[in-house]
Formats: sequence, C-alpha cells, structure tokens
Amino acid sequence: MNIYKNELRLYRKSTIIWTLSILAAAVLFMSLYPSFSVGAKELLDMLNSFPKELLKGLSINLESFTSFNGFFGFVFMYISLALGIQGMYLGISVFTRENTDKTCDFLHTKPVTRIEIMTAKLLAVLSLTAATNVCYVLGVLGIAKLIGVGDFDLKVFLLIALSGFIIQIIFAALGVVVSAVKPRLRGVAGISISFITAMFILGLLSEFIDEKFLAYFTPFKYFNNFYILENAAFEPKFLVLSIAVIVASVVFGYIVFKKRDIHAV
Amino acid sequence: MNVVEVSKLTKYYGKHRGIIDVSFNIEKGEIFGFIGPNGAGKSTTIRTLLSLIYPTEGSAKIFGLDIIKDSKEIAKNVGYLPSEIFYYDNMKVKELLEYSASFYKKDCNKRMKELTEIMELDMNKKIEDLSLGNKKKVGIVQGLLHEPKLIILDEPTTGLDPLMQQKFFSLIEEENKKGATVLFSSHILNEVQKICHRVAIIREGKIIKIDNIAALKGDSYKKIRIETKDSLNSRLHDLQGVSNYLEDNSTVSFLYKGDINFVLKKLSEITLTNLLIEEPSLEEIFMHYYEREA
Repeated sequence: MNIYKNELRLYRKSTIIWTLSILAAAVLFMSLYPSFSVGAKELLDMLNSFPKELLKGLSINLESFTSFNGFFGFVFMYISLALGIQGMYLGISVFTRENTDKTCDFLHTKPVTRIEIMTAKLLAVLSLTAATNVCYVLGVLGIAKLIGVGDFDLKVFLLIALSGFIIQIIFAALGVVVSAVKPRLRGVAGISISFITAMFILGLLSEFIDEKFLAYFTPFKYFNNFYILENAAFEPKFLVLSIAVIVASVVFGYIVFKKRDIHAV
Repeated sequence: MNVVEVSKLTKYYGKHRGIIDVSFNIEKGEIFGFIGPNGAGKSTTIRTLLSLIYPTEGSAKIFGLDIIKDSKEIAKNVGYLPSEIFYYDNMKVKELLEYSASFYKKDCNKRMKELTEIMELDMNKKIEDLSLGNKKKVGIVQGLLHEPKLIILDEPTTGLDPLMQQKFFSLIEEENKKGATVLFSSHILNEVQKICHRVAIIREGKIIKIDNIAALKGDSYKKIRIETKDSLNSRLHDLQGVSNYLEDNSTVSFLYKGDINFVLKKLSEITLTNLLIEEPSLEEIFMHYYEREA
C-alpha cells in the first residue's frame, strides 16, 4: 500500500496535466457539435465525394457522423491517441524510474517481495489511467448536457469510451514489456510518443490501403467505432486479442522483474 | 550461533567473474570486516546477500533463512547502508524516512528522532538539496531506524567528515553492544582495524584469508626497520620468513614472520645505528597478502 501511494504521489502532477489536457480537448471538440450538426447536410454532401478509405481512416461514418455518438467517435480517435501515449508512458516509467533514479537499492532492500512491488506499481498505473478516463468522460457528458444534444445511446457512448481505456491499458502493458527488456531506458516520454504515433499511423494505413491484417498489429484498430455504433458491442475476436495481449505482457513483466539482477549504480 | 552463513557463493555476470566459491560465517554479535580493493567482489557478495542479485551457484543463509526464498522475512531485520546514496529527489528528508519506516511493521518514530538528532539532520530539507555528506546521514538514519539485528555497511564512510565518521562508528558500536551483528565492507583498512573483530580478505572474487584482527596483526608478523652502515648484500633479504623487503640507502625495512630469536641473532651480526621493531598495520599485512598471492 505504501508503494502504491508513493507511485500516486510521484505521478500526481503529470497525471493531472494529462487529464486536464485531454479533458479540455474533449470538451472543446464536443462543444463544437451543435454548430456542426446545424450545417450537417451540406457537410455530408461534401464528405460523400471523399474517398471511402479516407473517411474510414478518419473514423468518419457517414450514416452516424452527424449523431452525437458518431461525432464523438470521430473526436475519440484523437483522444485515444493521447490516452495511448499516457498509458505507455506510465507503463514504462513506473518500472524504469527506480533504475534511472537509482532508488532500486532502497526499495528492494525493504521487506517486500518483488511481486508485491510490481503489483503495487501496476495498480497505481491502473488507478491513474482510470482517473483520467473518468474525468474526461464526465466532462464530455457534462458538456453534452450543457449544450443540450438531445437523446443519444449512453451505452454506445460508454462502450466507445471504455474502448479507449482498454487501448490505454494495452499500451501500458506493452510499456511494461519495454521496461522489462530495457530497464534503464531514458527519454520515456519521447519514446512513448513515437511508438504510439507509429501505431496510430499504422491504423490509418490499414484503412487507406484496406489491408485488414494490419489491424491486428495496432491496438488502435482493435475497437472499431463503426462496429460499436452499429452493434452496441465490441468485436469479440479483438476483445479476446486485447485481453490476451494485456495478460501476456503483464505475465512476461512479472517473470522478468522477479528474476532480474539489480546492478550497482 | 551464526547470523550469516555463506556457502560456496558464486556469481558470474555473463562471462565476467563476480565472486567464486565465497564461504564465511558471521557469528551473532560480531563486527565482521570485509576488505579488498575495488572490483574484488565485496559489493557483489553483499548484493547477493540482500537478494538484489541472484547467485550463479552456492547458497547463503541469514538468521537461518534462505536469502532467495525468504528475502522478505530477512529484510525485516536487516539495515543496509550502500556506498552511494540515491533517493527520491522531490521528497523531503522527513517524507523519505517516513516512507522507509512504513515498510516495517513497528513504530520507528522514537528511534528516528534520536538518530536524526545524533546525525544533526534537518528533516525539512529536500533530498535533492542535500550535500553528499548529508545524504549519507539520511542513509544512516534510514538504515538504522528499525533497529535491525543485522547491519550491512558497504563502504559507509565515503563523504562523511572525520567528526561524523567518529559519530558513525560509535553509533555502530553502540548498536553492536545492544546485540546487532555487523557486516562492514571497506577498502580503508584503518577503519576496519578500528572497529572489526574479524576480517575476511577478498581478492579477485575469492576469499584469501579469514582471521581475527589480532591474529592477523600481532602474533605472526613484526615490522622491522634497521639503519646500518654495513653492506648487507642479501643477508637479510634471503632469510626465511622475510617479506616486503625494502632497502633504501642505509635503511632497510621488512616484515618478519617466525621465531623472533632467530631474526635477532641475525641482526646482532650487523652493526646497527638504529633499530625499530613494531606491529605492522593491517594495511601492510594486507599488501603482503596481495603481493604474495599475485
């Protein structure tokens, strides 16, 4: 519990900044919705002339684009990008920071097992990311109420938002793998941004060139907004894949973390 | 009763030698010195005992418990002071010490207060603003606040001024009198000589000698220095039991091990202008071991 609290303390500031930024961006985008839905017909006509692949890549579904959830799905693509970066940053940083700050000796000579240390850190990551998600989702719901968007399917909205949280956790788990392979990694923020942006572009690419198999390589494509909008559910095979990636990454992390030699500085 | 039992501990870093077949025991209430130059394997041994690194072969027990399986149980009663101190920079001294105390399921407040007073530590300073010596003091308090039964010190005095070193040593001796066992690693022989009961000498990953300080110093060796105008040739140099032989103009010094009467007889054959026979310092003995083994 003390390790968990210490991690929360260490990442309090950066999490607040991330949360406020995502919240501000989400609220700002969503507050554009009313003026956007007014001119919807002209916009749809124009978008109709765009190539389908481009629209799909940009998460624009013509059938639902002008609905609140459809518009959120479009904005959500960029929110998920930010969530992904935050997730990966935390996933790597909670494990490499003790090495780069050289506090390993302190922590690991205390009466705690390595499994307990790792579990506390994972729980901290989970709590910090969950807090970010809850804050921005409440913000978006608040703005929806404020600007009076009318009825929308709350379940679909929450499913889309939940998919962002799952994507974030996948990247956090991949971050754990990175930290296991490179325990003394520095410049974690830059690496997270590059990796996530590459994944994001891969996601766009998979739509542009219409290669379905590419979707398996980027978590951003595990949750298809169109599918959620239509079926009010996640695609089962990708949900299973998500869980598998998370579990495998975390188990790998535990195995490496338990066996690793902690070298003198 | 043995508090520490090390048995054929071996550690390789890939192909690099860490330690080879290191075995020794530390009895309850002992201050055990561990000496050797940098890179000899002192830290490797200590880090293995703390289960920061895992041995390639061999095993060790602390309080009769296995260092790998029972590391958590062992750590409850171990205090560790590393040679270099690193803490969470943005913490205050007080926060760091409280965080440290929170790992032990007992009230450490009283002892923490006593120690910070002895060490003259400002509790409200941030760790990152502390000088090297002050960081070290935090390390000392942090390592002792839970009143450990085994204190492991890895070159603990670097960065402390002589006055603080003195305080530190009396603190350790006090803990020792209260029953704590101490493992003290150092390459500064003087301090080992001052405080330890027994020492192990380690060289290139292997223990080459374990003995009482007294036995190492006293019984076996004498340091002899003479001044003479006679030509010695190699009369003394070739004597049985002579080592560390140094000849400088009219002054000759060497370590002698063996029958003292024999060497005195030999010396009486020379016309001396001066003679000094003394106990060698641990340092000289230490050099002697190193040279002989080399």
